Amino acid sequence: MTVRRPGRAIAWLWLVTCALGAVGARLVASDRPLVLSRDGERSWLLALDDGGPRGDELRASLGPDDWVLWPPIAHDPVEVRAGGSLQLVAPPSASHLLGTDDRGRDVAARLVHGARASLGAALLAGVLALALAVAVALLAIGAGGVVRGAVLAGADVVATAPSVLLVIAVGGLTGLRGLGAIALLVAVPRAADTARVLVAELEAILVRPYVEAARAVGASPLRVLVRHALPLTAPLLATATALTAASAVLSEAALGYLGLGVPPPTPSWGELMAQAGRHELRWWLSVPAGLAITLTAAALLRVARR
Amino acid sequence: MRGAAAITLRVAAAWLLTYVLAVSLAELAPGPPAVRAARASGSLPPEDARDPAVRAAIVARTAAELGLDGGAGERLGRAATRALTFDLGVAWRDRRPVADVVGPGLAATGLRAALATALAVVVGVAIGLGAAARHGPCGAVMGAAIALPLTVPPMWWCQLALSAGQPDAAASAALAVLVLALAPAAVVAAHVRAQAEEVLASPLAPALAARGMARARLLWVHTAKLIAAGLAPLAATAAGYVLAASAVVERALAVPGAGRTLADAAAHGDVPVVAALAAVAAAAVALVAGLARAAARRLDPRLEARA
Repeated sequence: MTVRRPGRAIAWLWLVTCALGAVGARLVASDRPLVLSRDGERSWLLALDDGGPRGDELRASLGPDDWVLWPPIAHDPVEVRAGGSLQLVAPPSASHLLGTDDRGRDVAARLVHGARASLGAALLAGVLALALAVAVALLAIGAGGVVRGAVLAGADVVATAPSVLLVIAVGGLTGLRGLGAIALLVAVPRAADTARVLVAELEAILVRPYVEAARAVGASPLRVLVRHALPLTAPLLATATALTAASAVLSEAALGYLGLGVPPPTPSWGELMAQAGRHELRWWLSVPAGLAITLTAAALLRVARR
Repeated sequence: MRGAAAITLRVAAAWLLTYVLAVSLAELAPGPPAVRAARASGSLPPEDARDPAVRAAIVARTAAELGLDGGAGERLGRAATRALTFDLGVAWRDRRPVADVVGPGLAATGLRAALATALAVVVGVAIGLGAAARHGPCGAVMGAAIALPLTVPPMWWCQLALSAGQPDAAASAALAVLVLALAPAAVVAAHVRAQAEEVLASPLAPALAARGMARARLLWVHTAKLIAAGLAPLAATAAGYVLAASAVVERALAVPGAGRTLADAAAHGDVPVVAALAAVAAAAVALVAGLARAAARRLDPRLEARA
């Protein structure tokens, strides 16, 4: 079997890996074990539990016949004494593969858990933008006339609003912070942009003969739009959603860098880059996070290209 | 003349609507504005302080000083008047006039944004035309390279550059312009490449070649002219991006500017400063969009006829 478009396949592979890493972050990076065998009894997936023994406390309590299977990164993303002693901005070592940050937390663990913020923002923004764009386009076409003109003129204005500026300004004015706010405010201008193109695409589809035929056999205008025209715009909507997701990844990183992203101590890739800026550009803080952001945005843009 | 009036009207509308919308949004924030203003300046004692009367007195004084008393409608009316008279009030955080807080940074950011946009257009057009003219692996590599700046966050460019050594003030300013120009240049290049490939595949290209025109002249003169008008819609998006990225780049390179002022004001909930800078950004984007549209009509008379 040959892969006709290796770039696209690699992009999907990266995105799926990141998504699995984000969903199963606690199984990949945690100071709680995956399997604990103590006094002949086995406990499974303790990394998913919030309570119970952890880290050095657990290591110290193990008997000679007990054994533990740790996650690949045996550190918690918010544990400041990861590895027993406080190591601030320590370079990569055997115990911390990507070093530690300015609070002594393991960078590799924060990188894995940081994918949750980035991909969470991307997914949420993509879904919101898709829903908003479809709703706005259906409203514009369904209502027609003055409403259509007003909706499209409004979309023209909103589409030019830069999302990072919007998040900063709205956050400063309303105190609205967090992943949901970032996703919503990234989604709004992207939805407006998509809605403009979607209206044009739908209007072109609505004059096709098969749509006329559907109308002739009594299909309602809404049914014609939703059942017969909208499915044909799926490739356009998929591209727009991937572009929105890429925009959300970059915006979340920029806001995390400015200290306006997800609240601390929640890990994020942008926050790691902000730490790199504060600490004489320690490469183990900036390079992994920068690469993660760049590769994820590049993969989303590659997927968006039809 | 009519065009100039239309642009002025759009800029004024963008300024006024954004300022009033920003102040309206601030009304949605939890807590009375006077309490938030006192908190932003750091003058408010904690809620569990021994003497609540002191806290109430500070809130009342802040409300009177900053014009935050009365109902929401009254405050919005005052905000609209302020926007119309360009008297933006006093910053909540350091109690200086908003114009004094945002003024110096605006000039620096405006200059940087203008230079970055100009650089992005020049470099983007050159790379886009160059990529369109090349076939095979060279063109493919150029095509892939064009997309790269779109995926790299601006702070990473800054950090990669700073890792080579700490630049002086002039080098930092130049680096800021360069980093700000990268992503818009990539968008312009991708657009120009696609448009130029269409022109080169049209009957115009062989017709001009048959008349003895050199390929370079066809590309850099005729094709460039034909695609110039199509760049106009990108101008407003590029201006918006440059203004937004300024917040990140100014922080990363430690250069003064309105972007840093905005990020700091937002972090401290300084509503008058955030509202003023949001309105300025909206007016700037409206101005650039209007000028670009006018330039496009001048370059392509068909657009004038369609309008």
